[in-house]
Amino acid sequence: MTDILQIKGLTKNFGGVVALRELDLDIKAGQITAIIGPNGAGKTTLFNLIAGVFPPTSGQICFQGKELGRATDYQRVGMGIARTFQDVRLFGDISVLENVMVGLHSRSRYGIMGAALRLPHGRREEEGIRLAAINTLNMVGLGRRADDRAADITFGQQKLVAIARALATRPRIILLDEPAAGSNALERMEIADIVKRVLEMEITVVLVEHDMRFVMGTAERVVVLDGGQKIADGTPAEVQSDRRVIAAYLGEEEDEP
Amino acid sequence: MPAVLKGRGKTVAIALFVVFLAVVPSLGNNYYTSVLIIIGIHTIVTVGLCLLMGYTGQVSLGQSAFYGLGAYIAAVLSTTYFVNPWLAMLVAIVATTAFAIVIGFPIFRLRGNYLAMATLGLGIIFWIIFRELAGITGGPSGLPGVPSLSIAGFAFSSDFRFYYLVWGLCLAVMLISQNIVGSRMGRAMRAVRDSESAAQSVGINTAMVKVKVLALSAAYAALAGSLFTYYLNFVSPQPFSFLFNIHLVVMAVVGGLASIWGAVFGAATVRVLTEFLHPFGNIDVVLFGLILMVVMILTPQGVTQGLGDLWRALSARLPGRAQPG
Repeated sequence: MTDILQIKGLTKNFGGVVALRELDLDIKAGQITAIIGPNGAGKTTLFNLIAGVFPPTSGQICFQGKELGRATDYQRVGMGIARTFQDVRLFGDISVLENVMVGLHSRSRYGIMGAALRLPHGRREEEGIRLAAINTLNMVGLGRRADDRAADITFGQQKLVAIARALATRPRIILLDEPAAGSNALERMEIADIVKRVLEMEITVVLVEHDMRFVMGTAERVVVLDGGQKIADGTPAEVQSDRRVIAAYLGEEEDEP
Repeated sequence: MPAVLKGRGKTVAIALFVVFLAVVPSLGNNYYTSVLIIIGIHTIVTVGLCLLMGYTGQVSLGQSAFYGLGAYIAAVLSTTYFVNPWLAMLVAIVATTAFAIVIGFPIFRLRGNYLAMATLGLGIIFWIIFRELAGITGGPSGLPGVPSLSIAGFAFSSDFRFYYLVWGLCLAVMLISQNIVGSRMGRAMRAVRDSESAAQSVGINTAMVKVKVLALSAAYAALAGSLFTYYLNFVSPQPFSFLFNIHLVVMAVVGGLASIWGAVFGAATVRVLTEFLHPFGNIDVVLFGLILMVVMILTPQGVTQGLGDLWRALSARLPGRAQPG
């Protein structure tokens, strides 16, 4: 399997605080990789660095063999990197369908002129955007909520719309930040199912998650971060029995019987 | 979606409105015609502010700068340099738009209150420039003798003629804006308004979106400003003071910040109130402050939306009528 993402010596300082220290990590294409670790381990910082929200202090990220360098977050979407947020961040005042349609922004072209004068190419493109968005929304099972205001649907549904919005950007890799957090058992099963279907669309999945049952049930590989460093990396079973991981999660008293 | 009326109802309302506009000048009352001309001009500026504030979520208290810039460039070019008024108008719009693009990038590094203050400063700076650059602008007493617009000998010199020009352009501006709002660009604007970080995360260059909308609003303001000066055949700093920005915000809020057609209603309300309150001095400022507060508390989506909701609520109570969606 080829590496879709190659991270070398990635470091991020916020003022004096080191959020991520000299991280080396390769993400295999066509796999579900879970990043776990206690709060403040640097998981979301890693996502923000890959997505290009802010630049790293040092180190580099290569995506499909190309160094990302100073490419901005919106440019990286065009290259094929999509992400969701821990706190969802839907566009609350527009409809569910429009949220997903916004996801197709970088996959469409027509601008102010085409819109203002309702030129034919713009209208054609708009029809394509609408159809693609409906398809993507159906994929997460929310077609019937298309016309609802995004802020009016349940939290669990909002999380699914956020995934649909990210998928609408037609990514090669999708970064899911705590997709199962705040969802009930039924919704978690639904999300796990969607994640597997995303993989079938040949989109590589990286997810940050606290829910261990969700991680063990979906991920093929688990990477554990603690204090901005990688402390374990392997299959779910390997990681679960790793002494350092247990220590990081339960505290440092390794000598206890 | 914040639409007061949908489908057929909206088409009928717009058709009635256009008929009303077409009929007013033939009443032969010059006063009504002149008030409506000013309402049309103000509507054009308000629509731009709605795009910026209501749809993109970026406050501007400095639209008077673009409005005044449009007026002065058109006036100075066609008066001092004898440039053809249409050409002067075009130059005014292009130059003002270019200026908006240039200041847009630095100014949108600011957000919220800071953005409001910066734009406020912009408006005040230009008001001072218009007054103090007397060699070019004529200073506080203004620049008289601005020619009228004309096409092949047909001069838009009477109110009657100018009226149709203004409202033709105003309706075009509203139509164009409505089209933009419902497009890919319009979605990007609302995405920026609702969550800037999420907008970036789906590939939207948010800084660019803001600058584009500012540029469009500046183009509208400059169009309105040059119409204003060709209508009065005169330009002076007074209409481009800070007060105009307050009026504009009230117009936008009353009409509904995220409503293109509401802008007409807002501009008309403010203008008519100003006309009525003229004999009482500066009381209009107090009243507008009050209106702003009441509207924001009771119907933050604008009076037109509030009336629409009221109408739906009432008609739902009538027996034998299904609740309209």
